[in-house]
Amino acid sequence: MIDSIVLGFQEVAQWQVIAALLIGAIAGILVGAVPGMEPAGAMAIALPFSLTMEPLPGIILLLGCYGGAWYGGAIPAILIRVPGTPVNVLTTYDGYPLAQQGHPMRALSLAYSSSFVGGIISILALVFLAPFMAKVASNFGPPEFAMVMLLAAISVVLAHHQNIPAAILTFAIGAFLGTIGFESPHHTLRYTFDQDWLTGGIPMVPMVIGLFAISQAFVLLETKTAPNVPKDLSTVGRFSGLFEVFKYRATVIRSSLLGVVMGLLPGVGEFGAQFLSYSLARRFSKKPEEFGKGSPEGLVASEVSINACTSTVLVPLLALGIPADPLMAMLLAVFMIHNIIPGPQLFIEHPDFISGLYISLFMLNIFVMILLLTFTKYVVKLSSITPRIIGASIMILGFVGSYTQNFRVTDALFTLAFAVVGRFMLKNGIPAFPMVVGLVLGPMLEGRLKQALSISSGDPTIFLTRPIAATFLALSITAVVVFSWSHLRHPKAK
Amino acid sequence: MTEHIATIADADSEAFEDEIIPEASHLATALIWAFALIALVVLPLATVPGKRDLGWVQEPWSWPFITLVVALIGGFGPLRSYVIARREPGFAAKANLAFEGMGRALIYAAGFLAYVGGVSVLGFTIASAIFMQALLYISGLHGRRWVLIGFAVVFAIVMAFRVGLGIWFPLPPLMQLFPDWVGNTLGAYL
Repeated sequence: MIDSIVLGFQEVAQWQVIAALLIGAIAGILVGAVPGMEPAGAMAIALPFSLTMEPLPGIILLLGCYGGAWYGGAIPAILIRVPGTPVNVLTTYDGYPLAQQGHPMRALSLAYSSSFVGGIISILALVFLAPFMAKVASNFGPPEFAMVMLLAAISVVLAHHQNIPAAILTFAIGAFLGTIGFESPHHTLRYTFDQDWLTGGIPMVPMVIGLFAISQAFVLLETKTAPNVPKDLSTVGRFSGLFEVFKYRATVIRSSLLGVVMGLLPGVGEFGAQFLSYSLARRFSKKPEEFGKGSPEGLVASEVSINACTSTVLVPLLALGIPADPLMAMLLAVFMIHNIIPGPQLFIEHPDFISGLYISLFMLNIFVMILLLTFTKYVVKLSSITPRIIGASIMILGFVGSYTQNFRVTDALFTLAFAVVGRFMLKNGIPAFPMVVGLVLGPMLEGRLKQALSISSGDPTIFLTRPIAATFLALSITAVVVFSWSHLRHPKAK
Repeated sequence: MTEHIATIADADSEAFEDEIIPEASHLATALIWAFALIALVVLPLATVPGKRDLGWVQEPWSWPFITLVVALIGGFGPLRSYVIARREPGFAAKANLAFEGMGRALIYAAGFLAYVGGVSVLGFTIASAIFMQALLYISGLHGRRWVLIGFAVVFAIVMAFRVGLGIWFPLPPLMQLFPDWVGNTLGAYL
């Protein structure tokens, strides 16, 4: 144990890791602070560069973009009522009124502090849950992994419950796109039509950059008005949130637990956690009438739960090797390029890496917190950058990200094709996230299913006769039945 | 301020997102559904039978078949809604909103395509500078200030990625028009 911690510190005490921590933290804050930029797009652009780094710095760079954005997203949510990232919607409810009441710095400080508490609790949960889950998963064979992946796929689809049919469609299309190219065990080609450039399949990086970065750039290039942020922000009270957050201990504990649990469920994550957390905080509050009018407790509930998810979403990836969302799929790509296979063996073969990752996550949260408390006055100005210049910059960065990985024009063309498709989907409310998860999870599920059925000589009852596989299958069926039942009973319920 | 109880529906109320029109959304879903149908129809042409007899599940066609059938089943609801609602008056106008703004997106996409080609002829830096100026102009940011900002952004990107991270690009053919020393000197920055 102590050895692992020491090894972890050795891993972290390299300039590449520290640089990745700093750059990731700054990039994440910028992405969050600038309305319209999404962590998925920023991670997509950073992904090709992270692939060229050592595993830990590469992972930390992406996690910085991811985690830092949730902190930074509170800034425009509080100051101009525009969520910096999609998950900061609820932060606007109480953060903005609180700022309008003359306490903008108090609201920001409380949001940062709540995020910090949620982030730290999330890392602690990761530290304790991931090895436990990995130990359980060490007993898994292909049937068990196949059923876990099936459960993950169903969770991702159900998480898009506002448009389930479109989520099924896009997930399945993503899984189909994952079949293009070379296949085993027969060593044939599928859907390549004698085109060499399709032999390697649909590359994930250009797809993600197109769907999330360039398509968003199209939107930004058409956004005419720049947000108007307060010119002079007093820094008085910037540390007040560090103490105020603990006035709402019950809310902090409840929201943290919800965030931790929701983070474990593929596809549910921050959205599910914050809405449930906010609703419960309001229900149990002594002053529920203040919610939506500048309640500090409401702000705490929202921000704690968002950040309590950020590390636990790593549990299924690290312990089972299953990417629960596109962001985790990108992290998986970094793992794979360095021949680090996530799953139970990772904890045995690379304890130094795991320990280094935990320590880096702690440091990341501390870096982000220090940066925000120190430079908030300057960071808030980013919220007023003209969206069109951001959009134009993303177009060039998107090209750099997609083309320079393999120096293939076809990759840039893939990016372009998915950008147009992504814009069309975004415009019409069709979720793109399931498509990326399908692209990554689909081939893995195919491989595990085929292995399992190979073991049983084609007998599908192998998924029923093995207790763990049967349990996951039962959970999948239960999730679908419960969801369908609730929708049939309340057809108009969102 | 009116009282508002948060629901997960609020997740859709973010800024920088379009208003979703159900008819347009159904049309868009129907188009993706049609893609899945076409992919399923060409399945026999796009896959070959396996070389070993390992059962149908192991056949190369099985997984694409399963995914496409799931896609068709999943998207059937919106397709049905689209087919039923298309006879209603005013439906076509609403459904066609699925493509609203796509013309501009295609213009930017065409610009991106030209940029990709431009990089291989002019080099990254010159092509990026031209592309940035074109994007700013098309998006309505005119004037000397935006020209300078555009150049400054490209300069920052070049310094960060070409000089800082050392990302390699082939020497552009444009350099062949100049003496060797120009390419040797500026190659690392273009």
